[in-house]
Amino acid sequence: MTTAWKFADSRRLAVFRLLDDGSCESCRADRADVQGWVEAGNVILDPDPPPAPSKDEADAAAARELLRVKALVAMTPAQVDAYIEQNITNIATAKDAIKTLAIAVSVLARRL
Amino acid sequence: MPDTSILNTAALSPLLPTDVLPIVRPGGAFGNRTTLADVLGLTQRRNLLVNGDARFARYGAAQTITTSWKYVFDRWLAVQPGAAGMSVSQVDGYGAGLGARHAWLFTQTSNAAGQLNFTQSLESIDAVRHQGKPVTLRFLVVKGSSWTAPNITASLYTGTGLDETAASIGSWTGSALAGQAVVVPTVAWQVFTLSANLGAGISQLGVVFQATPSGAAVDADSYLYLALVSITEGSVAPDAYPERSYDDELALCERWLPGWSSVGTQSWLPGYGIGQGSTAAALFLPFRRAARKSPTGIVVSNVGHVGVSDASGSVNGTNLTFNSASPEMGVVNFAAAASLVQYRPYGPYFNNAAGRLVFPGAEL
Repeated sequence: MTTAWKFADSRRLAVFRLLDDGSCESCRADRADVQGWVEAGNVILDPDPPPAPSKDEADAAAARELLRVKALVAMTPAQVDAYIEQNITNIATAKDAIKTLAIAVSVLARRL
Repeated sequence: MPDTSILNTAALSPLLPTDVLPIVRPGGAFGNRTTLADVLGLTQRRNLLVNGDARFARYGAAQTITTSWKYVFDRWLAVQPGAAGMSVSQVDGYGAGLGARHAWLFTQTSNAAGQLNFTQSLESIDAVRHQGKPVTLRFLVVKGSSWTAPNITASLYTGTGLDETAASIGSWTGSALAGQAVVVPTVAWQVFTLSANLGAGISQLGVVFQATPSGAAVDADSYLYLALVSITEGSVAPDAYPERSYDDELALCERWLPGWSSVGTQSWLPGYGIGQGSTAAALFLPFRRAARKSPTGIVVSNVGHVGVSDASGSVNGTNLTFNSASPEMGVVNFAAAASLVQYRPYGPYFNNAAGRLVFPGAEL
């Protein structure tokens, strides 16, 4: 049985439905036949909630929020060079810089 | 005198289809005489209709006819207003040597008595080329013994508007009935023809077949085959279906319905995708032929029939929805349970031999 129209996502620009033969129809929500269906008293179903972020996505989002990673991303190569020269002066500051690099590499390596 | 050997064509009486002409055989000998109509019939004229031989069924090979107009096959719409009880399928052709590779099989599934309408109309850009000229409709039909509609009405309609929807055939701007034939199908194949003179100012042309079931009970023999439908210029029907090559016919169909069908369990789609996260990707699919106008949606055989692949593996989809389209490119949103990677390029493909993806919305 053909299902009711349902929004494809939270933008509510497109809708989809399953047809009798198992196929799926999707189109713009403002297409005339969809609007006619709505004007006939039907209601387009709300979209499914967005899926929870995966571990990779959650880790990437967390890494992007770290101030030291943000600072690293914003630097030019010359600024990175100057930062290392001026701020890596002992084991503690070296460990801090290595942690920042490791976090970034950990996230980026998942896209290899 | 040399000048007396030149024919004054203006002084000749017009030839009629029944006029008899001699046939010159190789070597110069005269053979049996034949009529002008036969000679004209030998000339393969272009079919003004597209997919008149039921070759393409890219909306799906089996369709339920409803009480609302819908495209059931490439370029062909159907409706059974009021009370629908019929399906139509693309089937292997029959016809005892009549040359039909495919045919449309209309099957009565109930005794619903809504009038069947099966129609195709030309774009105005094609219709205007035949202003003031004769055209001839030709089609083949055969019925099952329990088909309940007593006759078929074949009508050629014209209009003076521009690209009005085929679903309004018969009520277009400046609508005129150019020709109509009421034929009685039998349980043996028959070939019917209908010639009509088109008005000098027409800009729309279409054909509609109509049949009204009686309402009597139906059984397995309540069916009708329709095959090899053509409209050709001229007042004489061709003696055979004016066929185009597969590629030419497909190109004409794709102007109205871009799309692809699978040829196996890993049948690549032309285009590319890019990951938008672990569960989403956008697929960009360039059309083989530019569509009449921007499509407005998609129909996919099954939401799981499309997958995407990268260098290391593949991911099957859980949904496929319309994003946007231009006349030359369609974009769809691909959803998967997991395993996609943001920004990664992907190759889309059908993972099922029954896969089918079309972009409707460019039709009239």
